[in-house]
Amino acid sequence: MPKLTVDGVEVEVPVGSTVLQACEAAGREIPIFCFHPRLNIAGSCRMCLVEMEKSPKPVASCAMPAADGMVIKTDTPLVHKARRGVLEFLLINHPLDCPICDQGGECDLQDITLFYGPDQSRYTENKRPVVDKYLGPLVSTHMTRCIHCTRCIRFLDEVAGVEELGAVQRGEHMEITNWIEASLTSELQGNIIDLCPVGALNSKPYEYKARTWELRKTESIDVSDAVGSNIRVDARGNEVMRIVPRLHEGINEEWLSDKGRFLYDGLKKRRLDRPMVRRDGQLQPADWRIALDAAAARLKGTAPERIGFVIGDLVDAETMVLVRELAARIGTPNVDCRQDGSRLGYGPRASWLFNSTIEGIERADAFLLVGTNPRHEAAVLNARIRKRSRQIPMPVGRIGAAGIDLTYEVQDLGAGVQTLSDLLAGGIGFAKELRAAQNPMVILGSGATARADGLAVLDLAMRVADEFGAISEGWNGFNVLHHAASRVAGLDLGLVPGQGGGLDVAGMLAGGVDVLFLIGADELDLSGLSPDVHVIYQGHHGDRSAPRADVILPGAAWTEKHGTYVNTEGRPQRAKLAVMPPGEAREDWKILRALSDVLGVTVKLDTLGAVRARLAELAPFLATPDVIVPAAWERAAGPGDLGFDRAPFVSPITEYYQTNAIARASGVMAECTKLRLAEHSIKATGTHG
Amino acid sequence: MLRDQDRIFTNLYGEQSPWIDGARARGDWSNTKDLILLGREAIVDGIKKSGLRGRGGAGFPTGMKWSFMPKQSEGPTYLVVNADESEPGTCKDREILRHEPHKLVEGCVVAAAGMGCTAGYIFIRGEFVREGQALERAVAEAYEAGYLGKDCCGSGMSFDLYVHRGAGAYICGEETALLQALEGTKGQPRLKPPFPAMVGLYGRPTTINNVESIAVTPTILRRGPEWFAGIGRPNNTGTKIFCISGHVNRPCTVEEQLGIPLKELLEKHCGGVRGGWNNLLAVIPGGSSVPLLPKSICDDVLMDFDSLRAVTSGLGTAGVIVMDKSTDVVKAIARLSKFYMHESCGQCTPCREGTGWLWRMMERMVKGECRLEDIDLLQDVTKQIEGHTICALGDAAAWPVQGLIRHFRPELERRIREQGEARRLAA
Amino acid sequence: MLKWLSFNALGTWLTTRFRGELVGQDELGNRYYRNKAVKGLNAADWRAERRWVVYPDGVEPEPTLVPPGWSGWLHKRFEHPPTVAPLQVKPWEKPALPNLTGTPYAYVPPGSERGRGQRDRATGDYEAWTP
Repeated sequence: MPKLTVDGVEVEVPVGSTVLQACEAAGREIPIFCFHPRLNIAGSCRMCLVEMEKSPKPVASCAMPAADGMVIKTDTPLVHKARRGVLEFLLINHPLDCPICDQGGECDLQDITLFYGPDQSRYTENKRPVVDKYLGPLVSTHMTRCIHCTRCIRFLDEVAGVEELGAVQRGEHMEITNWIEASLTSELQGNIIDLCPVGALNSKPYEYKARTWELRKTESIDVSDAVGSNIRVDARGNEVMRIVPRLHEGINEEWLSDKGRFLYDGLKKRRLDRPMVRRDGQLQPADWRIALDAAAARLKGTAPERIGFVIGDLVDAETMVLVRELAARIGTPNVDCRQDGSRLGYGPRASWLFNSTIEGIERADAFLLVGTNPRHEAAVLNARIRKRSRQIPMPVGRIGAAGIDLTYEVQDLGAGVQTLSDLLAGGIGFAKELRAAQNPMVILGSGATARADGLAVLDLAMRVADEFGAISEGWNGFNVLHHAASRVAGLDLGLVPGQGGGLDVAGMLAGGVDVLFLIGADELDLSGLSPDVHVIYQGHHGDRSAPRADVILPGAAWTEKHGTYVNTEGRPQRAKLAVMPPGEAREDWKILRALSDVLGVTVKLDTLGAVRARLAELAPFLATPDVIVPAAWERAAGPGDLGFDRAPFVSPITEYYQTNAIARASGVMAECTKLRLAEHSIKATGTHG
Repeated sequence: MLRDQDRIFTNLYGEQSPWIDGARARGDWSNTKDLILLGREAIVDGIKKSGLRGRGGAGFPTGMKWSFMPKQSEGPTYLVVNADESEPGTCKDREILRHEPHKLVEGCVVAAAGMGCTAGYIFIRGEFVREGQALERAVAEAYEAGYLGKDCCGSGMSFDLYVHRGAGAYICGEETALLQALEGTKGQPRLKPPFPAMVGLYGRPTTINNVESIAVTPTILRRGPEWFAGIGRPNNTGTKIFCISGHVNRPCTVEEQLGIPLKELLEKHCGGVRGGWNNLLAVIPGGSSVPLLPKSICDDVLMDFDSLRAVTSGLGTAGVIVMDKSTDVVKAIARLSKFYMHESCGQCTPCREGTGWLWRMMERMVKGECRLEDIDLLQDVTKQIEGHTICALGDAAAWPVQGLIRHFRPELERRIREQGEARRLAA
Repeated sequence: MLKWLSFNALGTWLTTRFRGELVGQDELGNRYYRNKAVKGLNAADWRAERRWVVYPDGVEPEPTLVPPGWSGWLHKRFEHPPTVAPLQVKPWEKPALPNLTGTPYAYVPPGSERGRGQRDRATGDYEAWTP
């Protein structure tokens, strides 16, 4: 532990710290541009210069390792002069277009210039203009504003794992560019907008839409995947203007996947804003009473075991509590929260959680990916695995879902169940590497469990975990990676049909029910549904299921209600209301509460507090937000001899940008999809045909 | 005045064969095995005793640099020779590469023995096409003769030498940028610490030396460090190749002892300044990156590291650029500023933005199209660049301008006044 | 109740009755008057003349309904009424419109709630789904 003196204050910092960290430990703020704690050190902006005794020149504190006995001064004329000089140099070629710049108000260069910079310019020559680059539909560029901190280059190289940005030319003419005019391919590219300390890289959908200080900021949770990234929803009036990540070391660090960041324009399209009832074969707008009466009439007139509830991917835990209560009052066993057909949810809780936790990835030293493509199912989590693979040399094996570049080295072991059982028998070379690892991790994706033999695969994977030492004191390396934000909460609340009776999704769709109640369930294939089945759809988007519905009850999207979401680790987190639901749409749990009244089976949960109290009763481990209650390891009872399906595992996500109703409504996501389908082809040139 | 028998580079002008037979005739490779077998300690001690200072410009003691290499090291350690000679006014390494390549190759073997290096890279400037070919032939000859490879000169040491051509960027002459370029990435200087002696080429301990520093080592060890230390002045010992260009009657590259008076150097070897000594305006004594000296200082200054430092200049690479009174000195320095703007790598802020600003202001100074206060602004900008950058290119860009302002401020003011006067008359 | 009282004030009626000389009448029934020629009183300059309009009975008086030619005569832009010297209408001139304020055809700025057609996009707008 080196001890050093910063401005007369003696501080002790951990080994490997830099002088910058020591200064911060001593309560001194050092202005920085190029330095970022999660990226490699560049040391090129020279903003963090401090004076060090016995050094003739000021040193760059971000790059200088802290050593014992150093004497650092951060408040001397030399340091002030250096800072002012560097800022003057940065500003001579920086356009002073702050009034129209999207970064205005949250710009590092603005802030630092205010505190440390010169108050006027002595530069009378012409400024340097730089041609803007095309980086795809998500990131817009104003390269004249660039101060060449290279954070974006380093992020894409190191964290995102795609080498698509670089600096060409040298000296004054240095430019950040992507060489060819093709869009970036990373699922994390939006983060370079946050990283850019000036307004050179901006969010294209948000560009020129709002000023940062007019936005109302609400803490929320990302629902585009099951990682539960912490986000901040910035709204102006009743419109979500943008979504940015919040810091959470345990989940997303400070990154956010592009889908979570850019799908918000889907919140304004195809909204269900008033109840509808099908009359004369046509969906007609109605008022709430008529719609609820229509729904209740059908529900009452149907035998309970002929009613089915299916819960979608974006539903909050509160709504699921109401579904559970309502279904119990009605007396139907047909409730399923797994619209993708997954078989999870019958064994112990550990069999559907990401037990190692996302932070635990950084302790793992071997990975086995079974039927999952984490790059698309959980982009931020994939970045964690990449981070770990950059820290230590680490074997990563993959079964199924092959052919996708995960941004780190992967050994493809095989395609399906056979490989998994071979591995268990030790018949594959990878078994040795897995056995040698201290903390191996098995990650089971929904590509492996959402099939008829899902339970058998689950059992096999759990046996693999046991066999290869993934379960030990203080380490549980068996992980299930979900891709739906609502799934874990649904499983934790027991919203599965149960072993004795009750139909799962496939059973309901195959004609097992007469009334099908869909709560935000859009990933279903309703084409085979008998025309006699009465469909009640409660949700926020007119997506795949709404056109088939007979009654539509408009609900609220996740930004429009207070909700609890449980991520794949089993970590309950609360999203807050950022804007009001559009039109006559209402919060989902209230709709179900009202419906229960009309049905005459009143569920006595009248406030959000009451619903949450009931949630805590039903699933005590979800009571405290942001606290993971670890699940005890217990192998599920063998599913009996179900027989295996020989088909290879495939990832459930075929199109990354189109996985939920909001994203499908989003124009930005549609454009991304178009580009991805065109394999990120070169930008239209005018003569391209 | 250096005696002929003390010259190290006896084929500097290519009068004899540069190839292995010629080299052997001049004494190269004669007892290299013995030199290798001296052992690490003795070689480094010998170099330390000789007082050899790095010939690349900074003048850091070579022996001390060699002693920084870790004694025990798992895996390879590297010797890198900086043959990326791009300093304006300097052409000493070029003559060595062209006419004495075996001195360099032998020096690499000896230096490798002194530091326990397992491989060496010679990073040669891309524009040196013929020189590169000569060097490659010399390396091939040395391999053939068994001087390089598994068993160097029969000493049991294993050492491989590779020639790598650069792409002609001035910044790749900076040692860490050279390493970057050698590794195949963009030639941009690295942050120090860690120093290359700890983390260098491919993350391994590495020593980077100038061509001349390496090429003289076999001779030093052969003839004894005391002989080398006996030439020149204390702390500035040995011989040095000077390259004199500009307004002298016979520009030349010549090996001389350190500490020779500048006037003697010019009069003896170059036939004097064009138009006589009194026609001298200024001299840049060490390649483009050191401040210039006006005639008053040139009269009696000695050409060595410490004497030139004392007159706020430097020996640099000993590329002496002589300017007589016909020179537009402001324009000359403005041209150097343009060179540094062009060659700045663009990595760190002060150099990237500052060199362009300097050049633009210098261009206005040439015509006098500025205000008197702008001279102070110019000085201030150079001070803001100097010492704030990652590598020394920022300093090198700042120093010539500082030298100009220090010694020729009246000239700058005269131009500004005259231009102002002309403008007033025009108006 | 005398009908004229509800439209023409007594003074105007009297003036028109005793001093007025009818010049003409337009298609809407507005009648235009000027001072009767009285010897010694009428100045040589027609610009000094008094000219006025009497709106037809039973109609809401509406000055902007006065046709352009008559309006120009009333405001002494022309010496002769359109009955004598018809107004020259250029091919690019649009027909005169009365004041539309208060009518459904009144001007509303773009984006106004009362406007017809599309209003500009505003914060909080969304597209509703229609089956």
